[in-house]
Amino acid sequence: MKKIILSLAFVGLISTAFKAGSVYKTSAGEIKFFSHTNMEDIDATNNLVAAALSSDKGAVEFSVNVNSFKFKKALMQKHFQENYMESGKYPKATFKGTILENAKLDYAKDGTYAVKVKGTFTMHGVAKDITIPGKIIIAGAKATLQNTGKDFRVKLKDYGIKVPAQNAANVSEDINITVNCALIKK
Amino acid sequence: MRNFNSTIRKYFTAAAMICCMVQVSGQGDSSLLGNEPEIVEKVQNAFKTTKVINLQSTEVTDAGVLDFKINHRFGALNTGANNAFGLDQAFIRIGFEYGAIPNLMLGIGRTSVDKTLDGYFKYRIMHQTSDNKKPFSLLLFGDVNSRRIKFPFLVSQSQRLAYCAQLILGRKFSESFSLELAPSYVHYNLAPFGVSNDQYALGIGLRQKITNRLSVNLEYIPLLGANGAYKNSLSLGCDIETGGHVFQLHLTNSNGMVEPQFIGRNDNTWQSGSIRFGFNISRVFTLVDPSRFPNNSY
Repeated sequence: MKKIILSLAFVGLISTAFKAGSVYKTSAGEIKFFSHTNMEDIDATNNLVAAALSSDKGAVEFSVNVNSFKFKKALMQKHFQENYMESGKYPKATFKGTILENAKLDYAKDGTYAVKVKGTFTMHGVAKDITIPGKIIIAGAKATLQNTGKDFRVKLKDYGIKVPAQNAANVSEDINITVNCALIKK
Repeated sequence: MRNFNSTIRKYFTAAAMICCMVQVSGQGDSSLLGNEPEIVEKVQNAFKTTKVINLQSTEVTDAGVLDFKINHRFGALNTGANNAFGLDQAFIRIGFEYGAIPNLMLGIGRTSVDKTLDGYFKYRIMHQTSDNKKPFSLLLFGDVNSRRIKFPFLVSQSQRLAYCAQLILGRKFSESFSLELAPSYVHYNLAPFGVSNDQYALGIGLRQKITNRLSVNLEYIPLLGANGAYKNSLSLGCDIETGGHVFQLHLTNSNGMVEPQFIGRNDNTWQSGSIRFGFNISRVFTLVDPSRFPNNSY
């Protein structure tokens, strides 16, 4: 009988361990980017971003299908895919990291927390370690990861994306990225 | 009782082990995201523009986009130094293509060869998908030409007309290589004496990308069923993309730039040197915000 109780306790322990590590997920997160030059503003939106967050260690992951970015001009989208991102070769951009302040977060309590996420951003086949300031908004079973474009800037050069001289007036070397992904507890 | 106990214990141990395994597998999975569903996409950019060289490609002008086309063919190289190897002579076509709705493009143009007016449509029936459930694209092309030139004899309006119907079957095999076949039927309301009014042909077009913005294109249009003394059209060229423009530079034995001319009414051969330098310029303008077309094909 003792052993039964022990086993029961063991099972209970495991299930609480499961609970502590809740995973939040979405496959319809939003990421936008913005390029500004005096000649032209270019912006595109991707509403099919896959993202996951594990609350126990604050691990976050993003997977972005490059071809799912929608532009205001068809030709821009084609050039983006074929000439800049080379999505045939590099179909996905990914981010894997952790929330630095995770220990201070209470996922059971609704609120908005300013956080920094540190990790590896891989785009166009180039991986770089970066830290992105942003916030996490907890509301019930929903955890929303957000940042403003000002906080998250990438240089195309750093990721091996070349802008030809004749297009340099239209495509900025610095791209602002805005993340807005509402993840649901699974 | 003892037996009963040990049975229960076994069950619990098994259950606990399963729980552990589940958790281990959960942690062992390096990706939090797990298996993402594959996003199925329509395959884009099989060709840089709506034309391979003369032949229609598997691309359709996007909905709400206007493509301004200037096609230019010089004279034949074998016309000699006195004619600057053909540069003294020029044939030109000016045309517009518009993506009326997703997958349907309408076009008009005028060619200086026989002062020909042309109107056409191209409709994409099937679009190749990334999961290969649709392994190729299938398009239907239809064209009407009217020769506005003064004939040395009396012709009716109807006799000025020629038609072309084409099925275009193409596949983007890799990021850099695309191939298409275009079985074609051309009908001429007016044909030279002793020559049939109908002509069948098989257009073959391919492109091989050299860099992201440069490709080599080849097209060959063998006539099916010998018809008069007309020759097969053969063209070799390259596409150069610069922002909103695509420049297509090529050598071709056809001086016509619309289907009834270059498919079934081509007099020149490469062997005799009656080839010419030519170029197409394509410039696109987005007239309507693409979000107006929710079923947009890109």
